[in-house]
Amino acid sequence: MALLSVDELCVHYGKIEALHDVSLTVDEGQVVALIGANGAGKSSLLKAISGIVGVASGSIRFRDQVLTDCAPHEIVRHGVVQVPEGRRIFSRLTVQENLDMGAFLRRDHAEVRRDFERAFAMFPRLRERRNQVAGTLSGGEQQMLAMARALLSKPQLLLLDEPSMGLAPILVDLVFDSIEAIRKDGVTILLVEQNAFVALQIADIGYVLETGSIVLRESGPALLENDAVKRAYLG
Amino acid sequence: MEATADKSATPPAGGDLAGAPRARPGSGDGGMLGGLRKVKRFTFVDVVLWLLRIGVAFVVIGGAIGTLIKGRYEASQWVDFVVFGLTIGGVYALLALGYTMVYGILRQINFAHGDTMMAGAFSAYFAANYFKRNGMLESDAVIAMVVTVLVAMIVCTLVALTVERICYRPFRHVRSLAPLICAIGASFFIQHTFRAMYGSTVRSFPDTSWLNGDVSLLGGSMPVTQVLVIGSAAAAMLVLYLVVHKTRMGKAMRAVSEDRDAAAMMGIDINRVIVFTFTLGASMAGIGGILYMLVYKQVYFFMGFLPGIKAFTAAVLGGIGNIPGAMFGGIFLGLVESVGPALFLDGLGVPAPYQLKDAIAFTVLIMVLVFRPEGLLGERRAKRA
Ligand SMILES: Nc1ncnc2c1ncn2[C@@H]1O[C@H](COP(=O)(O)OP(=O)(O)OP(=O)(O)O)[C@@H](O)[C@H]1O
Ligand SMILES: [Mg+2]
Repeated sequence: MALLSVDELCVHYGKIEALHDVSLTVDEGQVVALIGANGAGKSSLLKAISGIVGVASGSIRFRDQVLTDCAPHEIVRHGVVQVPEGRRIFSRLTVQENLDMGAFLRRDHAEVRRDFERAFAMFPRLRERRNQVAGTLSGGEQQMLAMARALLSKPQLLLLDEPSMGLAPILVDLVFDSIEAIRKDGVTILLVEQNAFVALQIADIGYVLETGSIVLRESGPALLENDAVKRAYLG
Repeated sequence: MEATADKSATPPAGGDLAGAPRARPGSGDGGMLGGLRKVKRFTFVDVVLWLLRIGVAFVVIGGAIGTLIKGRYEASQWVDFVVFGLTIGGVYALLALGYTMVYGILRQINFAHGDTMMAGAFSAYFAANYFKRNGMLESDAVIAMVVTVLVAMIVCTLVALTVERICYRPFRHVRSLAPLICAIGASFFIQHTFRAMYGSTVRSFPDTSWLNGDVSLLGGSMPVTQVLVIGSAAAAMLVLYLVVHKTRMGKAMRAVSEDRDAAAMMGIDINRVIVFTFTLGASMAGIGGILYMLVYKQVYFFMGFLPGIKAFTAAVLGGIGNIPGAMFGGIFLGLVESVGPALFLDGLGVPAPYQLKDAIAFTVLIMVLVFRPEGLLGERRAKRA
C-alpha cells in the first residue's frame, strides 16, 4: 500500500482552480519528484497535503489516515512534515529556538537530544550558529536550518518545496547530498523542484504538473530522457 | 468543512497598525531631507504636517524653557512627577502588553481589553472587600492579596477568552474589520453589564493600614502605594518576559506571530497559541487593573476605557506587536503624561496644566501615528522580508 495517496484532488483559490483532479502516490522509502513550471500548482499540492490550504474535492491519505480533514498540526503529528518554499524560518528566533519549534510536539526528550546531535552532524554550521538570530543566517544556512527544523519533527514523509531555490551550485549539491542522507535514514521524500535536472537524478519516480494537472508520471531516469521534459524543463 | 477557502489565510506579514503602505505626500520617510528636496511641490498636507511638527516643537521646547525660567517647581516635585509617571506608566505597560501580544498573533486590535481590565478590577474589589470584612486584609495581607490578584487574573482570562471565542475566532479565516467592530461591541456589552449589575457609583478599594504612609527610599520618601505598584509591575513584566522567551508555549507564540503557517507546519496548534496569548495578556490586565485601582482608588464600570486607550497608545508608541516596545511605550507615556503638564504647559502659562494630561497623551498617539506609525522601537517596514 502506498504511504501517501492523493486522489483526484482539486484545490481552488476563490474562482482560480489551482489543482484539477490530481492523483499521485508515494511509496515508503521512495524519493518522488514533482516538477512543473511557475504557477503549475506544485506548492498548492504540498500545502494541501499539509493542511494549509483547504481542499475542494478529492482525498489525501497517509497510511490509513485521511489527512483531508486534519488541522495542520495534526498532520505533523501523523508524521507528514513540510519544508516550505522560501524556507520560512522564524527569523527573530535563534537557531536553537527554531529547532525547538521543530521538536514542538515531541515528548521523547532523550530521543530529541539525539536528533539534535544528528541534525548538527548533518549541518555543522548550525551548531556554530546555535545562539544566533536566524534572520542573520545566509541563504544557504537558512535552508539548512529549515531542513534541520523539519527533521526534528521526526517525519515519516518529508515534503520539500524547492529546497535549491536561490542557492549557489555548490550549496545545491550540499542540499541534495543531505536529501540523500535523509532518505538513507528511512524518511520518504516528496520533492518539488524547478531544478528538474538535479531532482530527477535522485528521484525514483517523477511527476510533471502542468497548470494544475498531472501530465506525466515516469521513473526518474525515464523522465530525464523524455523529449518533452527535456525541452520544457531541462533546457 | 469550508470547501475552498484558505484553511488559515494568513494576514500579510508586515504588521503595522497603519496596514497597507500609506501615501504620505512629500514628507515621506526621508523626513526633513525628503521635504526639502521636494520643496517645489509643497502640498497642503505638507504644510499641515509641518505646522504640526513646529507646533509640537514649540510647546515642548518653549514650554520647558518657560517652566525652568519660572522655577515654580522644586527638585523634589520633579522627582514626585517622575515617580508618579513610572507608577502609572507601569500600569499602562502591563495593559499595553495585552494589546501588543494579541496584535502580534492576530494582527487585530482587541478593543475590549480595557474592559477586560475593568472586570478584573471589579472582581478584585469584591475579593478585597471580602478579606476586609473577615479581617484577613490586615492580618494575612499577603495571602489576601495573592488571592485577590488570582481572582482578577482568572476573571480577566475568562472575559478575554470569551471575547476571543465570540469576536475573533469566527473571523479567523477572513480578513475584515468585523472582529474589531465585534470587539467594540463586546467592550460596550461588558461595560453596561457591570453598570446594570453594580450601578454607576464609584467605589474604592478598601482601606488598609499597610497601604497608607510612606517608605523611605534612596534618601527620599515615597508613598507605599507607588512603591508597591512600580515593584509589582516590574515583577509582572519580568515574569512575562521569561514566559515568552523561555517556555515552550512562549516560543511558539513568537513563532506564530512571525509566521502563522510556518508555525502550523511545525505542529503548533494555532488555536492553543491564541488562547495562550489572550490568557497572558488578560493576566497582565488583571494585575494592571488592581494596580490602577490602587493608584486612583476608583472602581466603576467605565474605568477601563481611558487606561485602555492610553495603553493602546503605549503599544503603538513602542511599535505594536513588539513586546519590549509595549513596556517601553507604557513607561514613556506615563512619564510624558505625568511630567509633561508641568514641564511643557506650565511654562506657556496654561492655567490648569494637569487638566490637559489626557490631551498630551492623545497628542502623542496622533503624532506617532502620523509621523512614525511603526512606533518608536518598531522596525521599518522595509526590513521585513
Ligand atoms: N493564496 C493564493 N490566492 C490566490 N491564488 C493563489 C494563491 N496561491 C497560489 N495561487 C495561484 O495558484 C496557482 C498555483 O500556485 P502555486 O504556488 O501552487 O504554483 P507553483 O507551482 O508552486 O509555482 P512556483 O514554481 O512559482 O512556486 C498560481 O496560478 C497562483 O497564482
Ligand atoms: Mg511553489
